[in-house]
Amino acid sequence: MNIIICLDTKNGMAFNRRRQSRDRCVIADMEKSIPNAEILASSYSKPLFEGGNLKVKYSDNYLDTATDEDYCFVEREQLCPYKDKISTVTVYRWDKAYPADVTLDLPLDSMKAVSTAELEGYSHKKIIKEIYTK
Amino acid sequence: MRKNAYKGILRLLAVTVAVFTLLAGCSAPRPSYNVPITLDNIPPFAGEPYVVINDNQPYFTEDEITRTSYESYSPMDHLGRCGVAIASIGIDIMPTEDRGNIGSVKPSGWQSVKYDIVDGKYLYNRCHLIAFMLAGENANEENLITGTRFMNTQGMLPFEDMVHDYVIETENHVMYRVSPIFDGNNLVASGCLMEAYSVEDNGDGICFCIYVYNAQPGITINYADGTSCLNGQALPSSTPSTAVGETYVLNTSSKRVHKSTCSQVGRIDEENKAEITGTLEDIIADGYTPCGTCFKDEALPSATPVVTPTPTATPKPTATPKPTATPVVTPAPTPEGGVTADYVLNTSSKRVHKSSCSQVDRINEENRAEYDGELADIIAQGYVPCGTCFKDEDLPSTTPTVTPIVTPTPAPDSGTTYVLNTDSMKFHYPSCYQADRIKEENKATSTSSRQELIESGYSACGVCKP
Repeated sequence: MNIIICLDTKNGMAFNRRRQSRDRCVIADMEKSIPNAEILASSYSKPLFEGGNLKVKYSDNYLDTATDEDYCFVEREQLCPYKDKISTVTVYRWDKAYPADVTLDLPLDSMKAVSTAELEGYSHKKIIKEIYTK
Repeated sequence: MRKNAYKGILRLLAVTVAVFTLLAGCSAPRPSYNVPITLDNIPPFAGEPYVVINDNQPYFTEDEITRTSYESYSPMDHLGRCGVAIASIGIDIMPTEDRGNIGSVKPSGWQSVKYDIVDGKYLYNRCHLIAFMLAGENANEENLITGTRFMNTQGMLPFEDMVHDYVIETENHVMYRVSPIFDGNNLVASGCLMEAYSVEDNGDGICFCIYVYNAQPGITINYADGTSCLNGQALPSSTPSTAVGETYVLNTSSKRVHKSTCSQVGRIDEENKAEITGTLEDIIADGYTPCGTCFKDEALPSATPVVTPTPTATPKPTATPKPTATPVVTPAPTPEGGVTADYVLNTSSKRVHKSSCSQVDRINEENRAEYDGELADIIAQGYVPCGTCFKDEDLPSTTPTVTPIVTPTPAPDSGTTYVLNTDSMKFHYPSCYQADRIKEENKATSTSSRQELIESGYSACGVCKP
Protein backbone atom coordinates (compact mmCIF):
# COMPACT_ATOMS: atom_id res chain seq x y z
CA MET A 1 0.00 0.00 0.00
CA ASN A 2 0.94 3.62 -0.47
CA ILE A 3 1.07 5.79 2.62
CA ILE A 4 0.41 9.54 2.59
CA ILE A 5 1.24 11.31 5.82
CA CYS A 6 1.92 14.80 7.21
CA LEU A 7 4.90 15.16 9.57
CA ASP A 8 6.72 18.00 11.28
CA THR A 9 10.48 18.45 11.29
CA LYS A 10 10.80 15.92 14.12
CA ASN A 11 8.52 13.31 12.52
CA GLY A 12 5.68 14.40 14.81
CA MET A 13 2.14 13.50 13.74
CA ALA A 14 -0.34 14.42 16.46
CA PHE A 15 -0.74 15.98 19.89
CA ASN A 16 -3.59 15.27 22.31
CA ARG A 17 -5.32 13.05 19.73
CA ARG A 18 -5.40 15.92 17.23
CA ARG A 19 -3.42 16.46 14.04
CA GLN A 20 -0.56 18.88 14.50
CA SER A 21 -1.49 21.00 11.53
CA ARG A 22 -3.33 21.08 8.23
CA ASP A 23 -3.04 22.92 4.95
CA ARG A 24 -5.48 22.93 2.06
CA CYS A 25 -2.54 22.85 -0.34
CA VAL A 26 -1.75 19.29 0.73
CA ILE A 27 -5.16 18.08 -0.41
CA ALA A 28 -4.85 20.17 -3.59
CA ASP A 29 -1.52 18.52 -4.32
CA MET A 30 -3.00 15.06 -3.76
CA GLU A 31 -5.79 15.92 -6.21
CA LYS A 32 -3.15 16.82 -8.77
CA SER A 33 -0.83 13.90 -8.09
CA ILE A 34 -3.30 11.04 -7.78
CA PRO A 35 -6.56 12.40 -9.25
CA ASN A 36 -8.18 9.05 -9.93
CA ALA A 37 -7.04 7.13 -6.91
CA GLU A 38 -9.37 6.06 -4.13
CA ILE A 39 -8.02 7.22 -0.80
CA LEU A 40 -8.53 5.20 2.35
CA ALA A 41 -8.63 7.09 5.63
CA SER A 42 -10.16 7.08 9.09
CA SER A 43 -13.30 9.09 9.75
CA TYR A 44 -11.16 11.58 11.69
CA SER A 45 -9.75 12.79 8.38
CA LYS A 46 -13.17 13.51 6.83
CA PRO A 47 -13.17 17.30 7.38
CA LEU A 48 -9.97 17.64 5.36
CA PHE A 49 -11.49 16.15 2.22
CA GLU A 50 -14.95 17.70 2.40
CA GLY A 51 -15.76 19.70 -0.72
CA GLY A 52 -12.78 18.27 -2.57
CA ASN A 53 -12.58 16.14 -5.69
CA LEU A 54 -10.85 13.12 -4.25
CA LYS A 55 -12.75 9.91 -3.74
CA VAL A 56 -12.23 8.92 -0.12
CA LYS A 57 -13.43 5.81 1.66
CA TYR A 58 -13.56 6.11 5.45
CA SER A 59 -13.08 3.16 7.73
CA ASP A 60 -11.64 2.58 11.18
CA ASN A 61 -9.61 -0.44 10.03
CA TYR A 62 -8.53 0.94 6.68
CA LEU A 63 -4.90 -0.09 7.16
CA ASP A 64 -5.95 -3.71 7.73
CA THR A 65 -8.08 -3.86 4.61
CA ALA A 66 -5.84 -1.88 2.24
CA THR A 67 -4.47 -3.70 -0.79
CA ASP A 68 -1.06 -3.20 -2.43
CA GLU A 69 -2.40 -0.54 -4.79
CA ASP A 70 -4.42 1.47 -2.28
CA TYR A 71 -3.48 4.94 -1.02
CA CYS A 72 -3.88 5.41 2.73
CA PHE A 73 -3.98 8.87 4.29
CA VAL A 74 -2.60 8.39 7.81
CA GLU A 75 -2.92 10.94 10.63
CA ARG A 76 -2.69 9.18 13.98
CA GLU A 77 -2.11 5.48 13.41
CA GLN A 78 1.13 3.61 13.99
CA LEU A 79 2.60 2.06 10.85
CA CYS A 80 5.16 -0.46 12.04
CA PRO A 81 2.59 -3.29 12.22
CA TYR A 82 2.00 -2.76 8.48
CA LYS A 83 5.58 -2.15 7.35
CA ASP A 84 5.69 -5.26 5.18
CA LYS A 85 2.63 -4.10 3.26
CA ILE A 86 3.97 -0.59 2.60
CA SER A 87 5.50 0.05 -0.81
CA THR A 88 5.70 3.85 -0.87
CA VAL A 89 5.48 6.67 1.67
CA THR A 90 4.67 10.23 0.63
CA VAL A 91 5.48 12.74 3.36
CA TYR A 92 4.13 16.28 3.40
CA ARG A 93 6.55 17.83 5.85
CA TRP A 94 5.69 21.01 7.74
CA ASP A 95 8.50 23.52 8.01
CA LYS A 96 8.53 23.63 11.80
CA ALA A 97 8.31 21.52 14.94
CA TYR A 98 4.91 21.33 16.60
CA PRO A 99 4.10 19.64 19.90
CA ALA A 100 3.86 15.88 19.44
CA ASP A 101 2.87 12.87 21.47
CA VAL A 102 2.46 10.64 18.43
CA THR A 103 5.41 10.35 16.06
CA LEU A 104 6.10 8.24 13.02
CA ASP A 105 7.27 4.81 14.10
CA LEU A 106 8.41 3.78 10.63
CA PRO A 107 12.16 4.30 10.02
CA LEU A 108 12.18 6.33 6.82
CA ASP A 109 15.93 6.00 6.57
CA SER A 110 15.45 2.33 5.85
CA MET A 111 13.58 3.30 2.68
CA LYS A 112 14.88 4.89 -0.49
CA ALA A 113 14.23 8.61 -0.90
CA VAL A 114 13.28 9.08 -4.54
CA SER A 115 12.21 12.70 -4.69
CA THR A 116 11.71 15.90 -2.75
CA ALA A 117 9.80 18.95 -3.86
CA GLU A 118 8.91 22.22 -2.22
CA LEU A 119 5.29 23.37 -2.15
CA GLU A 120 3.96 26.72 -1.10
CA GLY A 121 1.23 26.16 1.45
CA TYR A 122 -1.76 28.27 2.39
CA SER A 123 -1.01 28.50 6.10
CA HIS A 124 2.57 27.29 5.83
CA LYS A 125 5.26 29.16 3.95
CA LYS A 126 6.83 25.95 2.83
CA ILE A 127 5.84 22.30 2.74
CA ILE A 128 8.37 19.71 1.60
CA LYS A 129 6.96 16.76 -0.27
CA GLU A 130 9.17 13.72 0.15
CA ILE A 131 8.58 10.38 -1.56
CA TYR A 132 10.12 7.14 -0.32
CA THR A 133 10.01 3.66 -1.78
CA LYS A 134 11.11 0.32 -0.46
CA MET B 1 20.68 35.34 48.74
CA ARG B 2 21.33 32.11 46.95
CA LYS B 3 18.68 29.82 45.83
CA ASN B 4 18.71 26.57 43.97
CA ALA B 5 16.85 26.70 40.70
CA TYR B 6 14.53 23.82 41.21
CA LYS B 7 14.12 23.95 44.91
CA GLY B 8 11.47 26.58 44.50
CA ILE B 9 9.42 24.46 42.17
CA LEU B 10 9.08 21.78 44.78
CA ARG B 11 7.87 24.12 47.44
CA LEU B 12 4.26 24.26 48.24
CA LEU B 13 2.78 27.41 46.90
CA ALA B 14 -0.76 28.45 46.45
CA VAL B 15 -0.63 30.61 43.38
CA THR B 16 -3.34 33.12 43.32
CA VAL B 17 -3.57 35.72 40.67
CA ALA B 18 -5.34 38.82 41.83
CA VAL B 19 -8.78 39.61 40.56
CA PHE B 20 -8.51 42.73 38.57
CA THR B 21 -11.19 45.28 38.13
CA LEU B 22 -12.55 46.37 34.84
CA LEU B 23 -10.73 49.47 33.78
CA ALA B 24 -12.80 52.22 32.29
CA GLY B 25 -11.88 52.87 28.69
CA CYS B 26 -10.44 49.43 27.98
CA SER B 27 -11.92 47.54 25.07
CA ALA B 28 -11.79 44.24 26.99
CA PRO B 29 -12.02 43.48 30.68
CA ARG B 30 -8.80 42.68 32.50
CA PRO B 31 -8.31 38.95 33.03
CA SER B 32 -9.96 37.59 36.17
CA TYR B 33 -8.59 34.15 36.84
CA ASN B 34 -7.46 32.10 39.78
CA VAL B 35 -4.80 29.88 38.28
CA PRO B 36 -5.96 26.36 39.14
CA ILE B 37 -2.54 24.78 39.60
CA THR B 38 0.13 25.11 42.24
CA LEU B 39 3.82 24.60 41.80
CA ASP B 40 3.83 21.69 44.22
CA ASN B 41 1.71 19.79 41.69
CA ILE B 42 4.31 20.26 38.99
CA PRO B 43 7.05 17.64 38.70
CA PRO B 44 10.60 19.03 38.86
CA PHE B 45 12.16 20.06 35.58
CA ALA B 46 13.84 17.01 34.08
CA GLY B 47 14.86 18.26 30.66
CA GLU B 48 11.49 18.20 28.90
CA PRO B 49 10.19 21.67 28.06
CA TYR B 50 6.63 21.10 29.28
CA VAL B 51 4.26 18.76 31.09
CA VAL B 52 0.59 18.12 30.35
CA ILE B 53 -1.85 19.47 32.92
CA ASN B 54 -5.42 18.27 33.57
CA ASP B 55 -5.25 15.67 30.80
CA ASN B 56 -4.75 18.52 28.30
CA GLN B 57 -8.16 20.02 29.06
CA PRO B 58 -8.03 23.81 29.46
CA TYR B 59 -9.99 25.55 32.19
CA PHE B 60 -12.01 28.00 30.09
CA THR B 61 -15.57 28.50 31.26
CA GLU B 62 -18.48 28.71 28.85
CA ASP B 63 -18.77 32.41 29.59
CA GLU B 64 -15.19 33.01 28.54
CA ILE B 65 -15.39 31.27 25.17
CA THR B 66 -16.19 33.72 22.41
CA ARG B 67 -16.03 34.01 18.64
CA THR B 68 -15.19 37.68 18.96
CA SER B 69 -11.49 38.35 18.77
CA TYR B 70 -9.96 40.21 21.68
CA GLU B 71 -6.91 40.27 23.90
CA SER B 72 -6.50 41.36 27.49
CA TYR B 73 -3.53 41.66 29.81
CA SER B 74 -3.30 41.94 33.58
CA PRO B 75 -1.84 45.08 35.07
CA MET B 76 1.60 44.52 36.55
CA ASP B 77 1.73 43.90 40.28
CA HIS B 78 3.62 45.90 42.89
CA LEU B 79 6.81 44.00 42.03
CA GLY B 80 6.50 44.90 38.37
CA ARG B 81 5.51 41.37 37.37
CA CYS B 82 3.14 40.37 34.60
CA GLY B 83 -0.09 38.54 35.30
CA VAL B 84 -2.48 36.46 33.24
CA ALA B 85 -2.94 37.26 29.55
CA ILE B 86 -6.02 36.00 27.71
CA ALA B 87 -7.24 36.31 24.15
CA SER B 88 -9.63 34.99 21.63
CA ILE B 89 -7.20 34.70 18.76
CA GLY B 90 -8.75 35.51 15.43
CA ILE B 91 -7.23 36.28 12.09
CA ASP B 92 -8.37 39.89 12.48
CA ILE B 93 -6.02 40.60 15.40
CA MET B 94 -3.00 38.88 13.93
CA PRO B 95 -0.17 41.21 12.90
CA THR B 96 0.09 42.47 9.38
CA GLU B 97 3.53 44.00 9.83
CA ASP B 98 6.87 42.72 10.98
CA ARG B 99 7.54 42.81 14.68
CA GLY B 100 8.99 46.00 16.11
CA ASN B 101 11.70 46.52 18.65
CA ILE B 102 11.03 45.30 22.19
CA GLY B 103 14.46 46.01 23.61
CA SER B 104 13.22 48.97 25.60
CA VAL B 105 11.19 46.70 27.91
CA LYS B 106 12.98 45.26 30.94
CA PRO B 107 10.70 42.58 32.38
CA SER B 108 10.95 41.77 36.08
CA GLY B 109 14.13 39.88 36.89
CA TRP B 110 15.73 40.81 33.57
CA GLN B 111 19.42 40.00 33.26
CA SER B 112 21.54 40.15 30.15
CA VAL B 113 23.82 37.16 30.43
CA LYS B 114 25.34 34.80 27.90
CA TYR B 115 26.46 31.19 28.08
CA ASP B 116 28.20 29.17 25.43
CA ILE B 117 25.88 26.24 26.11
CA VAL B 118 22.75 28.26 25.29
CA ASP B 119 21.45 28.36 21.74
CA GLY B 120 22.08 31.96 20.68
CA LYS B 121 24.11 32.37 23.90
CA TYR B 122 21.70 34.69 25.70
CA LEU B 123 20.09 32.88 28.62
CA TYR B 124 17.03 35.11 28.67
CA ASN B 125 14.63 36.30 26.02
CA ARG B 126 11.87 38.82 26.44
CA CYS B 127 9.12 36.24 26.17
CA HIS B 128 5.71 37.31 24.97
CA LEU B 129 2.91 35.73 26.99
CA ILE B 130 0.64 36.01 23.96
CA ALA B 131 3.02 35.66 21.05
CA PHE B 132 3.47 38.53 18.64
CA MET B 133 2.45 36.22 15.81
CA LEU B 134 -0.92 35.68 17.49
CA ALA B 135 -2.00 39.15 18.55
CA GLY B 136 0.57 41.57 17.19
CA GLU B 137 1.59 43.00 20.55
CA ASN B 138 5.04 44.53 20.38
CA ALA B 139 6.66 46.20 23.38
CA ASN B 140 3.72 45.79 25.76
CA GLU B 141 5.29 45.45 29.21
CA GLU B 142 2.18 43.64 30.46
CA ASN B 143 2.87 40.90 27.91
CA LEU B 144 6.63 40.37 28.30
CA ILE B 145 8.36 38.26 30.92
CA THR B 146 11.93 37.19 31.49
CA GLY B 147 12.02 33.73 29.98
CA THR B 148 14.81 31.34 29.18
CA ARG B 149 15.77 30.64 25.61
CA PHE B 150 14.74 27.05 26.19
CA MET B 151 11.26 27.97 27.40
CA ASN B 152 10.81 30.41 24.56
CA THR B 153 11.90 28.21 21.69
CA GLN B 154 11.33 24.66 22.91
CA GLY B 155 8.41 25.21 25.25
CA MET B 156 6.19 27.98 23.98
CA LEU B 157 6.99 28.33 20.28
CA PRO B 158 5.71 24.94 19.06
CA PHE B 159 2.32 25.62 20.68
CA GLU B 160 2.22 29.17 19.37
CA ASP B 161 3.00 27.94 15.87
CA MET B 162 0.29 25.30 16.11
CA VAL B 163 -2.35 27.85 17.12
CA HIS B 164 -1.17 30.40 14.56
CA ASP B 165 -1.24 28.02 11.62
CA TYR B 166 -4.62 26.62 12.64
CA VAL B 167 -6.18 30.10 12.77
CA ILE B 168 -4.69 31.08 9.42
CA GLU B 169 -5.90 27.86 7.80
CA THR B 170 -9.42 27.73 9.22
CA GLU B 171 -10.12 31.37 10.12
CA ASN B 172 -11.62 29.97 13.32
CA HIS B 173 -10.97 31.46 16.75
CA VAL B 174 -8.83 29.96 19.49
CA MET B 175 -9.30 30.83 23.15
CA TYR B 176 -5.79 31.29 24.46
CA ARG B 177 -4.52 32.03 27.95
CA VAL B 178 -1.00 32.19 29.37
CA SER B 179 -0.50 32.51 33.13
CA PRO B 180 3.01 33.17 34.41
CA ILE B 181 3.49 31.49 37.78
CA PHE B 182 5.80 33.09 40.32
CA ASP B 183 6.97 31.46 43.50
CA GLY B 184 6.37 33.96 46.30
CA ASN B 185 8.03 37.27 45.55
CA ASN B 186 10.35 35.92 42.90
CA LEU B 187 10.86 38.27 39.98
CA VAL B 188 11.34 35.50 37.44
CA ALA B 189 8.44 33.16 36.77
CA SER B 190 8.98 29.47 37.48
CA GLY B 191 6.96 28.68 34.37
CA CYS B 192 3.73 29.39 32.54
CA LEU B 193 0.41 27.61 32.27
CA MET B 194 -0.63 27.65 28.61
CA GLU B 195 -4.21 26.84 27.64
CA ALA B 196 -5.90 26.85 24.23
CA TYR B 197 -9.24 25.75 22.81
CA SER B 198 -10.56 26.20 19.28
CA VAL B 199 -13.98 27.80 19.38
CA GLU B 200 -15.95 27.08 16.21
CA ASP B 201 -15.20 23.34 16.22
CA ASN B 202 -15.48 22.93 20.01
CA GLY B 203 -11.86 22.01 20.51
CA ASP B 204 -11.59 19.49 17.67
CA GLY B 205 -8.77 21.46 16.09
CA ILE B 206 -6.88 22.88 19.07
CA CYS B 207 -7.12 21.75 22.68
CA PHE B 208 -4.27 21.76 25.15
CA CYS B 209 -3.36 22.60 28.71
CA ILE B 210 0.33 22.49 29.56
CA TYR B 211 2.87 23.92 31.96
CA VAL B 212 6.11 25.14 30.37
CA TYR B 213 9.18 25.27 32.56
CA ASN B 214 11.11 28.53 32.65
CA ALA B 215 14.33 26.58 32.88
CA GLN B 216 17.48 26.10 30.85
CA PRO B 217 19.34 22.79 30.75
CA GLY B 218 22.77 23.13 32.32
CA ILE B 219 22.02 26.44 34.01
CA THR B 220 20.96 27.12 37.60
CA ILE B 221 18.68 30.11 37.97
CA ASN B 222 17.93 32.13 41.04
CA TYR B 223 14.30 32.93 40.32
CA ALA B 224 14.31 35.59 43.04
CA ASP B 225 16.23 38.01 40.84
CA GLY B 226 17.23 36.21 37.65
CA THR B 227 20.88 35.71 38.48
CA SER B 228 22.30 32.44 37.20
CA CYS B 229 25.31 30.20 36.91
CA LEU B 230 26.35 26.98 35.26
CA ASN B 231 25.14 23.91 37.10
CA GLY B 232 27.57 23.00 39.84
CA GLN B 233 28.96 26.50 40.17
CA ALA B 234 28.09 29.17 42.72
CA LEU B 235 25.39 31.71 41.98
CA PRO B 236 26.56 35.32 41.98
CA SER B 237 25.40 37.63 44.71
CA SER B 238 21.95 39.06 44.18
CA THR B 239 21.77 42.24 42.21
CA PRO B 240 19.29 45.05 42.51
CA SER B 241 16.14 44.17 40.65
CA THR B 242 15.33 47.62 39.47
CA ALA B 243 16.89 49.15 36.42
CA VAL B 244 20.08 51.06 37.13
CA GLY B 245 22.13 53.32 34.96
CA GLU B 246 21.64 56.43 32.94
CA THR B 247 18.86 57.45 30.63
CA TYR B 248 19.68 57.11 26.94
CA VAL B 249 17.75 57.77 23.75
CA LEU B 250 17.51 55.04 21.13
CA ASN B 251 17.01 55.33 17.41
CA THR B 252 15.16 52.06 16.91
CA SER B 253 15.56 52.37 13.15
CA SER B 254 19.30 52.98 12.86
CA LYS B 255 19.96 51.01 16.08
CA ARG B 256 22.01 53.88 17.50
CA VAL B 257 22.10 54.79 21.19
CA HIS B 258 22.58 58.43 22.12
CA LYS B 259 23.10 60.33 25.35
CA SER B 260 19.94 62.26 26.15
CA THR B 261 21.91 65.50 25.66
CA CYS B 262 23.20 64.53 22.22
CA SER B 263 22.55 66.99 19.40
CA GLN B 264 21.49 64.10 17.18
CA VAL B 265 18.51 63.25 19.35
CA GLY B 266 16.44 66.08 17.92
CA ARG B 267 16.87 64.62 14.45
CA ILE B 268 15.41 61.23 15.25
CA ASP B 269 11.95 60.68 13.84
CA GLU B 270 9.43 60.48 16.65
CA GLU B 271 8.30 56.99 15.65
CA ASN B 272 11.86 55.71 15.88
CA LYS B 273 12.68 57.37 19.18
CA ALA B 274 12.66 55.51 22.49
CA GLU B 275 13.98 56.47 25.89
CA ILE B 276 15.59 53.82 28.05
CA THR B 277 17.15 53.77 31.49
CA GLY B 278 19.81 51.16 31.90
CA THR B 279 23.44 50.39 31.45
CA LEU B 280 25.18 51.11 28.19
CA GLU B 281 26.52 47.58 28.26
CA ASP B 282 23.01 46.14 28.23
CA ILE B 283 21.95 48.43 25.42
CA ILE B 284 24.96 47.44 23.32
CA ALA B 285 24.16 43.82 24.08
CA ASP B 286 20.72 44.47 22.59
CA GLY B 287 22.35 45.33 19.29
CA TYR B 288 22.68 49.10 19.57
CA THR B 289 25.78 51.01 18.49
CA PRO B 290 26.88 54.08 20.47
CA CYS B 291 26.46 57.33 18.57
CA GLY B 292 29.70 58.57 17.12
CA THR B 293 28.99 62.12 18.14
CA CYS B 294 28.09 61.95 21.82
CA PHE B 295 30.25 58.98 22.74
CA LYS B 296 33.23 60.34 20.85
CA ASP B 297 36.52 59.74 22.66
CA GLU B 298 34.83 57.71 25.40
CA ALA B 299 35.90 54.28 26.47
CA LEU B 300 32.92 52.12 25.74
CA PRO B 301 31.96 49.03 27.70
CA SER B 302 32.59 45.61 26.35
CA ALA B 303 29.67 43.50 25.25
CA THR B 304 28.16 41.18 27.82
CA PRO B 305 30.75 38.65 28.89
CA VAL B 306 30.11 35.09 27.94
CA VAL B 307 30.05 32.50 30.68
CA THR B 308 31.98 29.52 29.46
CA PRO B 309 31.81 26.15 31.14
CA THR B 310 35.06 25.61 32.98
CA PRO B 311 35.57 21.99 31.95
CA THR B 312 35.55 22.86 28.23
CA ALA B 313 38.85 21.82 26.76
CA THR B 314 38.81 24.32 23.92
CA PRO B 315 36.99 27.38 25.13
CA LYS B 316 35.00 29.23 22.52
CA PRO B 317 35.88 32.84 21.87
CA THR B 318 34.05 35.26 24.07
CA ALA B 319 32.90 38.79 23.57
CA THR B 320 35.15 41.07 21.62
CA PRO B 321 35.50 44.57 23.06
CA LYS B 322 33.70 47.32 21.20
CA PRO B 323 36.04 49.71 19.44
CA THR B 324 36.87 52.74 21.48
CA ALA B 325 37.44 54.90 18.41
CA THR B 326 34.70 57.07 17.02
CA PRO B 327 32.99 54.89 14.45
CA VAL B 328 30.91 57.46 12.68
CA VAL B 329 31.36 55.92 9.26
CA THR B 330 30.19 52.37 9.01
CA PRO B 331 29.98 49.97 6.11
CA ALA B 332 26.70 50.48 4.33
CA PRO B 333 24.35 47.67 3.48
CA THR B 334 23.67 46.74 -0.10
CA PRO B 335 20.95 48.67 -1.91
CA GLU B 336 18.33 46.04 -1.07
CA GLY B 337 19.26 46.35 2.55
CA GLY B 338 17.98 49.88 2.96
CA VAL B 339 19.88 52.64 4.67
CA THR B 340 19.42 53.70 8.26
CA ALA B 341 22.00 56.50 8.58
CA ASP B 342 21.43 60.15 7.76
CA TYR B 343 23.79 60.22 4.79
CA VAL B 344 25.57 57.83 2.47
CA LEU B 345 29.07 58.51 1.26
CA ASN B 346 30.77 57.53 -1.96
CA THR B 347 34.30 57.22 -0.66
CA SER B 348 35.65 57.06 -4.20
CA SER B 349 34.00 60.12 -5.76
CA LYS B 350 33.86 61.90 -2.38
CA ARG B 351 30.17 62.67 -2.81
CA VAL B 352 27.75 62.76 0.13
CA HIS B 353 24.14 61.76 -0.52
CA LYS B 354 20.96 61.80 1.50
CA SER B 355 20.07 58.24 2.38
CA SER B 356 16.92 58.55 0.26
CA CYS B 357 18.83 59.68 -2.83
CA SER B 358 18.28 57.67 -6.00
CA GLN B 359 22.02 57.78 -6.65
CA VAL B 360 22.78 55.72 -3.57
CA ASP B 361 21.85 52.48 -5.26
CA ARG B 362 24.45 53.13 -7.94
CA ILE B 363 27.41 53.32 -5.58
CA ASN B 364 29.67 50.32 -5.71
CA GLU B 365 29.53 48.33 -2.52
CA GLU B 366 33.22 48.77 -1.77
CA ASN B 367 32.93 52.55 -2.03
CA ARG B 368 29.83 52.94 0.07
CA ALA B 369 29.71 54.04 3.72
CA GLU B 370 27.01 55.29 6.06
CA TYR B 371 27.42 58.55 7.90
CA ASP B 372 25.47 59.62 10.95
CA GLY B 373 26.45 63.18 11.73
CA GLU B 374 26.48 66.80 10.72
CA LEU B 375 26.60 67.61 7.01
CA ALA B 376 29.04 70.45 7.67
CA ASP B 377 31.47 68.04 9.25
CA ILE B 378 31.56 65.73 6.30
CA ILE B 379 31.86 68.61 3.84
CA ALA B 380 34.80 69.80 5.88
CA GLN B 381 36.47 66.53 5.10
CA GLY B 382 36.28 67.09 1.40
CA TYR B 383 32.95 65.54 0.56
CA VAL B 384 30.76 67.35 -1.98
CA PRO B 385 26.97 67.27 -1.61
CA CYS B 386 25.27 65.36 -4.39
CA GLY B 387 23.78 67.61 -7.04
CA THR B 388 20.62 65.54 -7.23
CA CYS B 389 19.46 65.19 -3.65
CA PHE B 390 20.81 68.50 -2.34
CA LYS B 391 19.61 70.47 -5.37
CA ASP B 392 18.24 73.91 -4.43
CA GLU B 393 19.15 73.49 -0.77
CA ASP B 394 21.14 75.92 1.34
CA LEU B 395 24.23 73.98 2.22
CA PRO B 396 26.42 74.59 5.24
CA SER B 397 29.67 76.36 4.58
CA THR B 398 32.89 74.49 4.92
CA THR B 399 34.50 74.74 8.34
CA PRO B 400 38.11 73.72 7.88
CA THR B 401 38.87 73.64 11.60
CA VAL B 402 36.70 70.60 12.24
CA THR B 403 38.65 67.59 13.35
CA PRO B 404 38.59 64.89 10.70
CA ILE B 405 36.07 62.29 11.72
CA VAL B 406 35.98 59.97 8.77
CA THR B 407 37.71 56.82 9.80
CA PRO B 408 38.47 53.92 7.55
CA THR B 409 35.93 51.17 7.33
CA PRO B 410 36.55 49.07 10.43
CA ALA B 411 38.65 46.05 9.86
CA PRO B 412 36.54 42.93 9.84
CA ASP B 413 35.51 41.85 13.30
CA SER B 414 36.99 44.83 15.11
CA GLY B 415 34.26 44.74 17.69
CA THR B 416 31.44 44.13 15.26
CA THR B 417 28.19 42.90 16.74
CA TYR B 418 26.35 40.54 14.43
CA VAL B 419 22.71 39.59 14.53
CA LEU B 420 22.15 35.85 14.30
CA ASN B 421 19.20 33.93 12.99
CA THR B 422 19.48 30.73 14.98
CA ASP B 423 16.89 29.09 12.78
CA SER B 424 18.32 29.81 9.31
CA MET B 425 21.87 29.97 10.76
CA LYS B 426 22.58 33.25 8.93
CA PHE B 427 24.36 36.23 10.45
CA HIS B 428 23.77 39.87 9.57
CA TYR B 429 24.95 43.36 10.31
CA PRO B 430 22.56 44.98 12.82
CA SER B 431 21.62 47.53 10.15
CA CYS B 432 20.50 44.84 7.69
CA TYR B 433 16.79 44.88 7.00
CA GLN B 434 16.81 41.11 7.00
CA ALA B 435 17.89 41.21 10.64
CA ASP B 436 14.74 43.13 11.51
CA ARG B 437 12.65 40.36 10.03
CA ILE B 438 14.05 37.62 12.24
CA LYS B 439 11.53 36.24 14.67
CA GLU B 440 12.42 37.18 18.23
CA GLU B 441 12.68 33.55 19.22
CA ASN B 442 15.29 32.97 16.53
CA LYS B 443 17.21 36.18 17.08
CA ALA B 444 20.50 36.53 18.93
CA THR B 445 23.48 38.80 18.82
CA SER B 446 27.10 37.84 18.85
CA THR B 447 30.40 39.60 19.05
CA SER B 448 32.25 36.54 17.85
CA SER B 449 34.34 37.11 14.75
CA ARG B 450 33.05 36.38 11.26
CA GLN B 451 35.34 33.38 11.01
CA GLU B 452 34.24 32.04 14.36
CA LEU B 453 30.60 32.31 13.36
CA ILE B 454 31.26 30.49 10.11
CA GLU B 455 33.11 27.80 11.99
CA SER B 456 30.11 27.52 14.29
CA GLY B 457 27.91 26.71 11.29
CA TYR B 458 26.60 30.18 10.47
CA SER B 459 26.74 31.66 6.99
CA ALA B 460 26.90 35.32 6.01
CA CYS B 461 23.73 37.09 4.89
CA GLY B 462 23.67 37.55 1.13
CA VAL B 463 22.12 41.00 1.44
CA CYS B 464 24.38 42.86 3.87
CA LYS B 465 27.36 40.59 3.18
CA PRO B 466 28.98 40.84 6.64
